[in-house]
Amino acid sequence: MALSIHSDDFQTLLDSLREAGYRCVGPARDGTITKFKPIEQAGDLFLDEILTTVSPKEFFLAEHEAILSYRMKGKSDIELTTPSKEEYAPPTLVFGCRPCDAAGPDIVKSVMTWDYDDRFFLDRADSTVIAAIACVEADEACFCTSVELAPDSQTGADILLIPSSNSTGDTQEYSVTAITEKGRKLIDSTKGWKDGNPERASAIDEVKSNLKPSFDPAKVREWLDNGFDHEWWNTATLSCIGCGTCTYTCPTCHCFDIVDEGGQSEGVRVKNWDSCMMSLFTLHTSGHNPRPLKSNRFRQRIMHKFKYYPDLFERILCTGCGRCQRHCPVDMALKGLLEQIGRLAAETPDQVAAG
Amino acid sequence: MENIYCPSLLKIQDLTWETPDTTSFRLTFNDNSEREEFFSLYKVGQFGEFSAFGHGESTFCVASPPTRKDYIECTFRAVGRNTKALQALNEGDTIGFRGPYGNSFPIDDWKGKNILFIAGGIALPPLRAVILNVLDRRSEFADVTIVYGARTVSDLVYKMELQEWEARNDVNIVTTVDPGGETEDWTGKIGFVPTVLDEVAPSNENTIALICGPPIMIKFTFPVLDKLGFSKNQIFTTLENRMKCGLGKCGRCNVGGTYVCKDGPVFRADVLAELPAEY
Amino acid sequence: MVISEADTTKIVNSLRVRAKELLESGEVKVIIGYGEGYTKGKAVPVFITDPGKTDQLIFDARCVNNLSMYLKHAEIKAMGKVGIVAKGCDARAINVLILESQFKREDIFILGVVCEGVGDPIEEQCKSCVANTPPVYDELFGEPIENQGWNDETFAKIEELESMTQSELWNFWVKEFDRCIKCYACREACPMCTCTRCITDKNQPQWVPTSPHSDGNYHWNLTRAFHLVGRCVGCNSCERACPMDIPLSLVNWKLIKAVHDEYEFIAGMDAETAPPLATYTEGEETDFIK
Repeated sequence: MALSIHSDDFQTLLDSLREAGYRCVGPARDGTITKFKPIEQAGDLFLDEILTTVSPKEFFLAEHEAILSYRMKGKSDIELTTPSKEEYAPPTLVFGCRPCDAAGPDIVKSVMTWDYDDRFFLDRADSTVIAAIACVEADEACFCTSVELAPDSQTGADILLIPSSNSTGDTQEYSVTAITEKGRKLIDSTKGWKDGNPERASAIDEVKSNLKPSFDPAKVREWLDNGFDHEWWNTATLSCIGCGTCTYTCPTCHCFDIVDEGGQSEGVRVKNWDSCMMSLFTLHTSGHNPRPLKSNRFRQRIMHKFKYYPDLFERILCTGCGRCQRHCPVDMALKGLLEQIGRLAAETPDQVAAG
Repeated sequence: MENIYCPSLLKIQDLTWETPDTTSFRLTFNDNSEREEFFSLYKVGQFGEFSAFGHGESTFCVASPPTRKDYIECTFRAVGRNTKALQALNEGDTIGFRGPYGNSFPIDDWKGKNILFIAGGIALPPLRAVILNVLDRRSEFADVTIVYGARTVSDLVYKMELQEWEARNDVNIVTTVDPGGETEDWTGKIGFVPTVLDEVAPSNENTIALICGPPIMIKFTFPVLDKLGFSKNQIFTTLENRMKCGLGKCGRCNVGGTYVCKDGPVFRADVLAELPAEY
Repeated sequence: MVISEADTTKIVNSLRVRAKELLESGEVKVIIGYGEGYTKGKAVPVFITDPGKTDQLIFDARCVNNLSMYLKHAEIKAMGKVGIVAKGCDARAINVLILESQFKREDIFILGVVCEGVGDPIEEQCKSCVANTPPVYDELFGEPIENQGWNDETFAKIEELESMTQSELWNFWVKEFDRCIKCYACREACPMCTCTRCITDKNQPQWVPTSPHSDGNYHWNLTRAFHLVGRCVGCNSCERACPMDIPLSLVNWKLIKAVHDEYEFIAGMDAETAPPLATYTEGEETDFIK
């Protein structure tokens, strides 16, 4: 049966989520930015922004989390404790993210299950339901259609809300599709959902047709196969300032650091987001650095996303959300760079092969 | 689900000062089932994450062979925060260990072959596990030659074992120190490893060469091996890149698309030659 | 007074011509200036080595970045002598860097541009600019404006914060710093962050917790602020770069005010005046050192 939900019923949904034991996180204002925060009141939901500043990946791969605690009863007697699933992976609904953000954890899952299972990621993925909302708006930085996604794609989402043409100012009706069993279960155990099949807002298809792919990831990958030593990296990356904004706001960047925090007698081992754009990332204790230059590091980021990861897992490590363009202090747009690579691939195939 | 980041607890049974800043630990598993699990997986060349709680984890190759199943050993120089904290521990203290990780030396493929070990300075430990493994299975291999050098006499590690190996008649061992690094009673050679290797001139025939050392030593040793007729597919080495997880997740140890923690740390020279110089 | 469009065009044209000459003659190897961004309407740093490409250069109120931060990059240092387009605040940063021996005056050619403020709407710090005309340059573009001192408005926001109770102030900053994700965009965008290994990247001992939790965020942002006392030129690069919109300039201006109140010192107005926090004179009060 076709389902729908009206924004007037969001509070009903939130109340019933609480009763069913879920916490809800969604886009909300924090100072002058929008980010994913726990939502109790429907009025706190802020769905007007195209995208939040940071993706909701933190609910899968925490920005900062304890993976172990140690307690020394003596130098030879140490007690290790792993946080319990209940602590770090409470049942959660990520509500109102965009399809590009919903795709993030689905893509990252491949590496988190690569021979060894990262329970912190997987337990969260298991206990989290993603309800994405299709886009009625895109900006210049959006490029999901270039990486095999779309403003209404279902990849990674458990529930997809499609805005209907039935909107009046502040209220909005959505048609609802349960994509996974997990999504179906959440709908069945919560309130606010109704029968009905409201008409799909035409804006979605307008966004879709206006968002023409700006590069071909297959061609990019082909160029990258032989382009490791190309001179282009040096000139194209000169303006990078070397911060981690692009990687931290990205829904698919998943690299992390492990550090101990605490004293001699007790403390925690924590996992923090880390970034390949920083030189410390690969610095050896000896002082040697395999990636000493920003061109080396920028190349690593593009290679990882568009060659190494696809080579390993047949997935592009990018959802085209465009945050790396929106928030870059010097407008180093990944999309723009990939367009340049696309042009290099088309213009000078022989040169590339020669390296 | 298991916590892949949770280490086993190991007790420091023996602590040896190899040089003024380099230490070896002999470690025993607190939990026997963890020991059994480790040895059911461990192959020579693999590495682990060793930790002093409160300070972090460091990546070292396991320096003891899978033929000695009561303990594991590691040798490290105190440079960073964790290695300094590890070095401050005493016999009887407990450390954390995760592993074994990565690939290994395919020594079962080398039965009947001559094995040539070339090492410099603190880089002997990864090869020491192979040397002991080969010596523990001595009859399966032909000639064993070791060329080991360090800057000074005091920088040579495993001094006791070097003497033991020297005393054996089924091992050909040549030790050397850089010019100026010798002491009055030094009886070994004086000169850089590549030069000494050239003098020793081991045969390339039916031989596998393992090389481990500082980049500068490796750089000058390859031409010598080439001159001696070794082809790249006869030469093996191990790489080290900065690691955190050791499990292919944290994303920093890759050389091009190759992850040192999973596809390495052991590389055959012809494979290594295909990789970009990101190590 | 606002620089007219005609004047702007004149500035840009003469910049392009001079940049071309400098590259052609080999006097500089690279020109760091502003060009059109990939994102429509954004101006971005450009690095021109080809004399035929100086037409890329632009200059207008969109040119917000402080380009002097690139002078610390190994890639730029390796290129040879740099010609750099510098607004007043950029030129002040260059003065501080010269004073701190990061490079020599003769290592760079400064294409100074007269600036009446950047951003749309004009950025806050520009409203009380003390260097509309760059205090140092090899060649000046635009009609010089007589530089003013700070005005009544300059520290209005800081005084507002100063009127808060201690706990109000604490809560204000805890909430603001809580958003920090430790991306270090503030550090990288800052011309003054010249340490080859930042204190937060040092772990023997671990001075600053690297985690992005409250403790780590507070440590990081305040440690950075302390390192900028008497050095910060108030260019706002850190706040502009921050993806989480943390009002970092409030921290910086509080310290700029403190240094000014105590020593009547404004960083970067010349490359000679000894910075008060890096100077000791005999007989100076030292009883604050416990």
